[in-house]
Amino acid sequence: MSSNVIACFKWVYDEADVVVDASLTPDFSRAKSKISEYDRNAIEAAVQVAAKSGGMPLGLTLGSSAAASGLKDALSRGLAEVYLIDCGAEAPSDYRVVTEALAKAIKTMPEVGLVICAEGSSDRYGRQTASRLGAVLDWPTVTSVVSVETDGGSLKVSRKLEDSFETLALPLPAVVAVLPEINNPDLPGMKAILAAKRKPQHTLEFASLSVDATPAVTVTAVTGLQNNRKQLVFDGPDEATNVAEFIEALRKEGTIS
Amino acid sequence: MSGVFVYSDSPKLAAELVGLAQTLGDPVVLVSLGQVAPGLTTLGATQVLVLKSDDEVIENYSRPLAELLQERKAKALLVGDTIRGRDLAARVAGHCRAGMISGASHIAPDGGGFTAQRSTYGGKLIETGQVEELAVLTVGAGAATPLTVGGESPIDEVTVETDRRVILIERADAGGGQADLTTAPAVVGVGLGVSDQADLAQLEVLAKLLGGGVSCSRGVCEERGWFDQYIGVSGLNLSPDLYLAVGISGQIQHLYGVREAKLIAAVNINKDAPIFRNADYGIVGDYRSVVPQLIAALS
Repeated sequence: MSSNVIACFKWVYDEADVVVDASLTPDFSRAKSKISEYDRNAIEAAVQVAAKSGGMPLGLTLGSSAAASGLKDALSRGLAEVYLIDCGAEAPSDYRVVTEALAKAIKTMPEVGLVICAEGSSDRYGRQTASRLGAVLDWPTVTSVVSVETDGGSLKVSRKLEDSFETLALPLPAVVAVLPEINNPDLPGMKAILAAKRKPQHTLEFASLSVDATPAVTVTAVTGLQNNRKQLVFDGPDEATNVAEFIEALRKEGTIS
Repeated sequence: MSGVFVYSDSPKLAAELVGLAQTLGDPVVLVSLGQVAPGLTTLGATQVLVLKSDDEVIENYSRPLAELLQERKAKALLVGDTIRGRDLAARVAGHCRAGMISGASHIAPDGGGFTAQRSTYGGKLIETGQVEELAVLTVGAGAATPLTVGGESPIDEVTVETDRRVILIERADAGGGQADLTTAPAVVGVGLGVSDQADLAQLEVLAKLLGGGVSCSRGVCEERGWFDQYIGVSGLNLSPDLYLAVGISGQIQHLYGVREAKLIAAVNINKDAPIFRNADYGIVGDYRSVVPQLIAALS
């Protein structure tokens, strides 16, 4: 396979920086942005597959114009070129809109053999993107992938389910969603960071893709999670008493008989 | 036949979703992929719709299922929130250009569609979404109770052409006799605070006494390799009646995986561990002495 391998990635707010105030209103104003943690594994997988197959590892992201600041970071992780679908001031978050835009963009990219996504992004983790994208492109798709082998025009993947593993074969072009355990990417070194500055960055205007921008799901509210856990901790000097009180509490809840 | 369609590769989850579907619309059509799965005709669905084929890969049924949903003007497709279920649901949504809410809770009819909530940002935020018909929703265990009505549902069988480009070469059970914990009533979670693999035997005993099984944090899975699966954002999302975290510090990515647990309990030697702020009940102590006492109390 000498066709190119695309890693899809998303520029997201760092979930650790999102603050919820007493009225449960989320505050993103001090949140830094980053490449979604799980997408770093997708990028590394694309780099590794392309190195073996002889194709180029390409990055594809959709975001607001601010996402441009993540492109160099993505390139420093081993991608040869990146493509940004620039949505202007605000990027759509709706899965239908996003996957239909990604599919249109992929059709404009050179000789695509494989698209690698993460299972989900660290902000919304909807686990829809790869499966929907495969359906929109009408390409064979496998999710929850923990290993990828290429063999000429086809792909052999291992997939992890709740209680079993599957080995599957599929022809290219294809879409896969990888789990973070597929690899353990190194932090980019200084040489890679400097080299990233010279690598090509392409911008596709969202409007030019002629995608229906109507969201399929209308988000009507986003609020902080109310912590309703009882937080009753048995921490007395006598462990046996702590255990007895703990057991009694579970009995009262009806959790144990 | 319009109505609310239901599918799960977990029979227990399918039973619960039939109960949930009945609160959302009528009739309730329970989908079976390949052949009639045992027990599906007695769950109280108005009809069991069989997409007949000898294809073993259920995701390969997504296009014919999408076509049938559109043809029969389905209001919604409820899918059990398992790895396969989520994948199938998202493909169906892609084919139908439908809105989908994964890991949905608090589902309610709303005008010509439905509203539902889902958890985002590692469980910090709750997003409420509104989705028109045909709505695709994946739902975890514990969201509803199965119906108790008797009788057999009539079967409607449709022979379908599946997408056979993805071929199953091999399916192997996970090592260590790991059970599917998706619908287990109790789960014991093992964290990096559990230092010796030999201690897992005791935790298994405790889990059995509680009526469930054992899983772990991502750190234990990846660094120690004691388990093939782990609980968390990118791993298992479980909703047992009781989740007992042993030696787990309580990172938000882990807690996301048990956010729907009815009760969270924790044993941790560090009284400042974040798990205690996210648990209902906790014991501060060394699991090596606490766990045997719990076993003794429950035996």
